[in-house]
Amino acid sequence: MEEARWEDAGSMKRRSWPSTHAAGPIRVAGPDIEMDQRHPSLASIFLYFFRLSWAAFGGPLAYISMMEDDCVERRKWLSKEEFAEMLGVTNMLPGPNATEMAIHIGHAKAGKLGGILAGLGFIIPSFIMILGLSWFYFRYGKMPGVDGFFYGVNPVVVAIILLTVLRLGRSTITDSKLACLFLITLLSYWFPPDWRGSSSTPPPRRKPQTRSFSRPWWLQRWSLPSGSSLSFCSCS
Amino acid sequence: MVITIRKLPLILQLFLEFLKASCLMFGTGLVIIPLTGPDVVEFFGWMSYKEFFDGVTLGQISPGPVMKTAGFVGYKVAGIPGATAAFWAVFFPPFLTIILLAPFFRRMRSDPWLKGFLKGVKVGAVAIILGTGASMAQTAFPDLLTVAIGAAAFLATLKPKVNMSVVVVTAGVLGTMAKLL
Repeated sequence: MEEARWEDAGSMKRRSWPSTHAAGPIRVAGPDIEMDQRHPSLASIFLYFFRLSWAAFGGPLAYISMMEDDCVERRKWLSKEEFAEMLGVTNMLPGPNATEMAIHIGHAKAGKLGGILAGLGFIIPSFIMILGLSWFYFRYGKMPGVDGFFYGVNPVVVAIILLTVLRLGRSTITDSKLACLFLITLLSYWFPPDWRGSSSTPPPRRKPQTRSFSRPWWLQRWSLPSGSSLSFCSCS
Repeated sequence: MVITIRKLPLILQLFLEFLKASCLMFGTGLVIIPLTGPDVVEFFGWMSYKEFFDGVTLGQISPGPVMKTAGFVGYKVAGIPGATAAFWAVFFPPFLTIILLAPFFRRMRSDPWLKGFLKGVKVGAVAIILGTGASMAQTAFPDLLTVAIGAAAFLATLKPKVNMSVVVVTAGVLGTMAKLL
């Protein structure tokens, strides 16, 4: 990893995306970058995704389009069609999409090891970050300053989630059958069926909650006797 | 035969819980909220709604996938080993699925059954996120100021050119000031 750093050191400056993009790919001195295009080295794949991950703000769509800019236009690792095909496949698999896209690109360019390194490069920064943030939160979260931050930012996150749901909803609920499916899913999430029947005793909850997470308050009073929703944990 | 997950070691509980979330995740990482929230808070009783939602906020405003919130829950439950178990439960399956399924990708893309299945699953994902939206709003909007911040942020994000980090920092500063003053 260390010995590869010099070859990519120059391209660190290129990270001032996306303004440099209009000016076309910037040539970075050094023969390794030239050879990079069809068969990038394992180290350059790892380092690319490692750096991308620190800059990846704004949801999977945002970083997938960053990957497209970099891998298709700038580094010429993939053609536009190849990238679109890969994206189609990752959309069919369960799991975090952007991570899958990183693994997929690495796998296509440098085999199994390439896939593993691309994925690790993309994931390790997130892991470090969430460890640090969790430590900070559980240590200082009760302080009024930190608490106030969440008091202010939580509404913004609700707004972001609502917006994501609206956008996804518009692109996925395309006909009346799917709209019905949407309503049925929503209702069965709020009123989960009691698969085990009334004869079996529900598992005792450690903390009895007066309000259910999975249902808005105006529906709380119609509670059905039921265990945890959508969970294999409570199934027998 | 009854398998009780509560009898398992804590680390394994975390791992299985988030493995489930990873395997059922289609569409967007936000599915982690409806898939694990009720279990984490009500079934296991690991943390409160407030803490869980603060964790989602941390996952959302820091770079990288939202699913890293799993690490936050794991950290609360069992420190660094817990965070490691929960985080890698989410991010390990993609390695397997991509590398093992790679030879079948071409066939998968043209399979009509799989396409139909995914159409339905994605609608379901939207539905369950919206399903928790109402309850999340209860934790996030304790008073009028937060409602105002939320509404302003929503209107701001409707415009595609607005930089989200500016909105987040502004809201954070506003919130801190409101609490301190």
